[in-house]
This record gives sequence, C-alpha cells and structure tokens, in this order.
Amino acid sequence: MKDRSAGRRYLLDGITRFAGLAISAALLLALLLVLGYVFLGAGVGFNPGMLISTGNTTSGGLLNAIVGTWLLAGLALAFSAFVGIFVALGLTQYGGSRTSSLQRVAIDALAALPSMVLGLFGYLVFVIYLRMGFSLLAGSLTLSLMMLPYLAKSAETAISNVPKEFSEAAYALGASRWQVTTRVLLRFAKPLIISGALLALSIGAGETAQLLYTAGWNPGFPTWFVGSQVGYLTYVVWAGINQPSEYSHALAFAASAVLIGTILALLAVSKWIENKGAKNA
Amino acid sequence: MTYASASREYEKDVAISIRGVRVSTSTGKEILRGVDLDVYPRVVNTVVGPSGSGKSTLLKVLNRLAELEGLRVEGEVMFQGKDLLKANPYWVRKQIGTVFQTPNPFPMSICENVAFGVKLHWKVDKKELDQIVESALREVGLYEEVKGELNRSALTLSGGQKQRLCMARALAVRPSVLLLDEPTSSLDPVSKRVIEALITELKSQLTVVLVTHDMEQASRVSDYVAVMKGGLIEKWGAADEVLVDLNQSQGGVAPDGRRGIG
Repeated sequence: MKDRSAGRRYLLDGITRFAGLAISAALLLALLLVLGYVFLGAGVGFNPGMLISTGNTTSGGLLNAIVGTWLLAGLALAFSAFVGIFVALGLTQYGGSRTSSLQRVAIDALAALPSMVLGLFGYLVFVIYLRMGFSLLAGSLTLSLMMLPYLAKSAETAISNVPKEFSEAAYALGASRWQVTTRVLLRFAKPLIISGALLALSIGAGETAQLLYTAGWNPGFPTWFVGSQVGYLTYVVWAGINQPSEYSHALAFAASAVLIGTILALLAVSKWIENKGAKNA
Repeated sequence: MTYASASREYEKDVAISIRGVRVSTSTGKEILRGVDLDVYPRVVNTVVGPSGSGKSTLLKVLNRLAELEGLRVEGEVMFQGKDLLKANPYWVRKQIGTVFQTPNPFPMSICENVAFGVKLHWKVDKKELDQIVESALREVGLYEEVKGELNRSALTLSGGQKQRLCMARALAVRPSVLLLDEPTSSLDPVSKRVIEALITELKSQLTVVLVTHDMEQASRVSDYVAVMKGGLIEKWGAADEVLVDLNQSQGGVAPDGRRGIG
C-alpha cells in the first residue's frame, strides 16, 4: 500500500529544517551587524593610548573605566557566587520541598526585577542608609543582587546534573552529607558552575542602570571600597555618545568595543570550560 | 584509629541478624513485610527472587541507603552487637560496603577512585595510600591489568574492569561485610565469570551478601540461599538444599520465571 502522507511529511521536514536554518542565520547576521557596527565605529577614532590612560568621557582614555568595571563585576561575583552556590545546595540537597519552592519563587522574582528598580534599592539602602556613598562596595553589592539569580540557577542545574549514582556510591562508602556535597557534587559540578559564573560576570560587566545609582563616576581610580566613586565602561558609552564632540564618540565606541571584546572572550572561556568538563565526565 | 590498625570484626555464628524488618514508601506501600534472616560470616549469602520481591531494598536496609530514598524502615538488624538501624549510618556504611548493579566509578583516575573512600575515613600519607590502592587492586585481580596507568581515567576501563574497580573501591575501606547487588547483570559472560571467581575468593576475608536473578550463578557461588517473594523470605538455608528444593518445585526455572543464563 502506498503511503500517501510520506511526501507531505518529507516536505514538512524540509520546511522545518529551512526555517531553523533561516532563524539561525538571521540571529548570526544581527550579531555580526552589532559587532561590525561597534568595531568599525571604534576603528575610526581609536588610538591605543586610550587603553593605558585614565580619563573622563570627553578627554583622556579608558583605563579607569576598564579597571572600575572589572573591580565592580569581580567583587559582585565574589558576593553572589558564594550565596548562589549555597542557595543551589539548599535547593537541591538540604531544603524540604516547601522551603525549596519558596526559594525558587524568591530567585525568579529577583531575576524579574527591572535593573532600574534594583538600582534604586541599592541607592536607598547601600548609598544612603548604610552611608557607603557612591562607591565600589555599593555598586558591587547592587550588581550582586542582579547576578545572584543567574548564579543560583546555573549552580542548581550543574548540581542536579551530577549523576545520582555518584552520590549514592559516595554515601555507600560512608561519606557524610557534607563530604558528598564537597567531594562529589561540587567537584563534578564545578565546570558548569564556573561557566555560569563567567556568564553572570559578563552580564554584570555590561550593566549600567544600577551603577548610575550606586557607583557614580570617577575620572581616576577608586581609593577605597566606600566613599570613593568608580568609573565604568558602560557609563562612558552612555555619556560619551551624548557629548557634542568626536573624541567623546570615539571614546564611547572604544568603550563598547573593549566591553564586547572582553565579554566575548569570557563567553569563549566559559564554553571551553563547559566542554572540557563534559569531556572529562 | 589509623588505617593500619583498622581490622575487620567478625561475629562467630551470625554476622547480621535481621528480625521483623518492614519497609514502606512514603505513600504507605509495603516493600518488605517482616523479613527474618540470618547472614552467616565469611560465606556467600545469596538472596534470590523475582523482580520487585524486595531483594535490593533488603540490601538498602543493611547499608542504610533506604532512609536516603525516604523509605520507612522498622524492625531490628543486629550487627556487631548493635542495632544497625539505630547506629550511626556513616559507621554502618564503613563496615558494610556495597557494589551496585551498574558499575559506577567516579569520573576520576583509577587511583583516585580506590582512594576515595579511604580518604573519607583516614588521614594517610601518599606512600601509604599508594600501597592501599595497590593492595585493593590486587585483591580484585585488576592490578596487573592497570599498573603503570593508575592515573588513567577510570571511565576508559571495560565494563568488567569498572565493576572490579568498584569492588576494590569498596574493599579499600576495609568493610567486614560486602553487599553485591546483581553485580554481574550488566556484564558479558567472561567478566561475569571473573567476578564470580572473585566473590568466592573474597569470602575468606569477609562476609558476602549477594543479590542475584541468576539461579545458575547462585548455585555456583553461594553457601547459603534465601528466596524472597512479595517482600518476605520464603525459603532460607544451605545453598544445596534450598536450590535443590527450588529446582524440584519449579523445574529449574528461576523464581522470576527466567532460566539461569550462567
């Protein structure tokens, strides 16, 4: 008997495959356009001196903003990684079903909060109430609130992905719950946790709204964790492009290019770690 | 206690005395319905029975893994003068090692796998640890096959070698009882024979509790056999008697309806 629907199914397969390819191509094109626009724009007025000198958004270089960005994002990562891993362990290992679902709701809600609102919270609590002023600590603590859900979610996925047989084998050898957590779960989940952390770091480095409220701006380097303002790259992009000067525009493009370049490098490292982990597993 | 001074302790007549053990799930379903069984020291005690009869659950009672799965356990299991169900579970699992159905080495080197359990319980220096790893691998007949490449990933070993590595990992902790939950069911016939030979060798050093589907295997390696059905021990005694009885009553067919595939 001839299967009449076979031709139609074949056609449908073809259309689906074509649609998938077309969407991927459109995404890639959009990414290449943004990258091309930024890097070509940066190429026009760029000079290498921008990377090694400090400045404000109208003159000088970007070194203060580059250092400030990674200080803010790095410190925020340190705060949120620690809490995020504990939250993930609570969700997967130690929590009851009720506390776990409550924690999940809290994390989802935190992830859904607009960064402007988080910025306002950071301003009122850290800058004003806790008297940190516009500073490295106020900025990084506020950033860590935004990075925490990403870290907790990726750590939770990483820990849940460790095969149950491994923890069962460790328990059967007499390991305590803490030993199973540290020597099996965290050890085997490490590549995915690190890759999630690098992703959170790049998201944090690209943040502006919260830092406008909490970090301020500094044409030099911050002198201490509190009471000293910090420069950051996204501020240069935001403020530089509004200035009526070609040099400011060049600085804004250069800041975008540096930011995107380092974020792409971070993503590449994160993928490499993830693949290396998968190969070893 | 140092690793060197840790010795296996044995009861003279009965290694483990199981009385009235009931296990149920959180929904109230009974898996074991009052199991009574004596496990004899330094022999192979085999539990046979159809799928779902509660054989593996009985092992999970003995190594206290049942509670990690949220199962409710009642009854009394006397082991080294203590009720095992009330003792510290980490102590119990150190004394009673387990080898699972599917070989489950950690994604680490061969050496790290064997050392894993040892490092949980003792502080040993590198030299002593190397000796422990070597002697555990020798105990399972794997040392000659892997010497010189102990830092190789354990995942590159064959199925049978992985299972022997898991046995070495369990033995390195110096348990006095070794639980084997269908240890050859995922292995080829040659590896199966190697593990069976190993099981009969091991009984000179420790008490073995083997769970198997395979009646031929049970007759090859067992000294005592218990037949489980529906969460209860149906028959229990010397292997020759129980297996002969079973053969006569079932025409050589295993309790789960399969013929032994030896």
